[in-house]
Amino acid sequence: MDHLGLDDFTRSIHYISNTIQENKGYLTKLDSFIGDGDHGSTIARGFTKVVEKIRKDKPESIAELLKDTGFTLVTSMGGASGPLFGTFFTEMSKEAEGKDVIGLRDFYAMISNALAKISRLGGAKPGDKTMIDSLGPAVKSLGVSLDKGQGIDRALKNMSIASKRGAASTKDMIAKKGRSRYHGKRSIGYQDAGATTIYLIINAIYKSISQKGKNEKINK
Amino acid sequence: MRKLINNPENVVDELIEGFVLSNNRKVKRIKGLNVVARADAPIKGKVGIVIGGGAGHEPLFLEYIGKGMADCEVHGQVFAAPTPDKIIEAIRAADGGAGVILLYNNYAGDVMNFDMAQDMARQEGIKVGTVRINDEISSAPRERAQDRRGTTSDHVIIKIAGAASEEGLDFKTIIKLLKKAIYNSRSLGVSLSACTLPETGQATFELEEGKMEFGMGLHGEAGIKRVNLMDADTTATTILGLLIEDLPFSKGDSVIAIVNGYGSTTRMEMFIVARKIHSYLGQSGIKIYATEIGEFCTSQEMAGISITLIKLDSDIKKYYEAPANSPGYKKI
Repeated sequence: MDHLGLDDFTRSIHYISNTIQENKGYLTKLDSFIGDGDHGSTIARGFTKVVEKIRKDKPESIAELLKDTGFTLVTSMGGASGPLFGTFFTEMSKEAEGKDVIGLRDFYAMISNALAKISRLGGAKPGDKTMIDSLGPAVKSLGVSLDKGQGIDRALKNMSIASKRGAASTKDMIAKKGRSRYHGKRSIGYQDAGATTIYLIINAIYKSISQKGKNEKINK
Repeated sequence: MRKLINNPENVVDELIEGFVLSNNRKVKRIKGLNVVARADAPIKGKVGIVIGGGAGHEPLFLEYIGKGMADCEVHGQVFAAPTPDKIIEAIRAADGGAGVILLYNNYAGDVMNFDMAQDMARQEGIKVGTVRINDEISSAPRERAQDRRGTTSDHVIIKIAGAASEEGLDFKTIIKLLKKAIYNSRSLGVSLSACTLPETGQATFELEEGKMEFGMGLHGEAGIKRVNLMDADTTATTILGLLIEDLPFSKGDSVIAIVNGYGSTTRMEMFIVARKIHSYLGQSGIKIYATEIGEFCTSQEMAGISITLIKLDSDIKKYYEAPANSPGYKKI
């Protein structure tokens, strides 16, 4: 597989939504240690609306699908997480505009775009114990895969591993952004909920796409 | 959880419905959304004042719309900022052609959502500006005042914004006036018990019996100091000492003092605190022009109080004294 199409991205969005619903309780628990404990239910509400929206609208391009996803998250979640997670998808959508298929280079551009805009919007830097700490390593890993000429499957797998490590690394960090920052050093020992959600999203993208690869082989 | 509610998912919708029905001659709901406006909005030629934020802090912000107060309010979910698609409806409903000012508390979520709506409105050709309230002194040091949260001074700042726009001041002058009034406002509170979120039924933090925490935020943001429960006089003295140190008050200054209950504090306790504020400021040579006591900025059933001091000048005093008629704030 060297390209991703609308079907791949549509399957990814459904996969992400299922993953988020399954992990709702876990995310809420993470958020309740150093946040206000509503992250799981908020993001789950957002993705429920996303699935409703794309079932109804049946987007006809990758850009439209991602834009619908992002805008629905912004309008249904609220708080800071609505704009931040919504931006992840709307910024990817901008780079996908006019493209029927997405190669690794395009995907790298899309996700780099998302990282840059989220960093600007939230003002967080690497090490601040935020979603940047699991998104940054994912972007970096994709860049390495691109340089090495790896295939999409391998690149997405490495991206997921890097993101997981990034999310885990937030455990030892002191929160500098978001409501958890008021806990200062007391935030050490807890993994950041936002960083974990980004890892779940990235892993869902990898899983949904690699599973399709397997299914195709079986079908053939 | 001890809350008299129906389906927790519907608390915000249902509270808006109840509010609008209870004030049906004075306010209207916009397009069935959690956006409410004074009945006669938009008012042609008047600068529109849009306020809003997360739910769960009632009377903030919705009870502050009316004549001499804000034009339009947008309510988020409990403790979560409202979304840009609703904020833009509030801006449109408040737009009388003289510009719209977005006046809200300085929290990251509110800033992102209101900024997005501001961009959308500007693309439609509406003149929009932003003023953020940041009076809570424990949330960041003075040199990073732009990071401070907004709290109880809303009660008076919204009043001043409404009065100034009602009198016909222009867009720029109102923004300047509000920035000065906000700079002159300082708040700090103490929490005695936690609050629970209706959606999850869980407490936002734990605070054991017999303890109190200074600087605890309205959403369970950790405070600056957790101590054994102090008496009312010592508590008031501690808060006032920090407030006065933060905004250089001088002898002869005159202030509005607000004693705010967070949700389950009795008026009895508030008056006991007010008594100490009067004796303490009297000794410091600071004159209290007006004292306001009540629940203005709450955090569900959290116990505790906050004290706000707003230093007056002739402008602030004038608009503070102007008439106001909103469900949550009336002045003749």
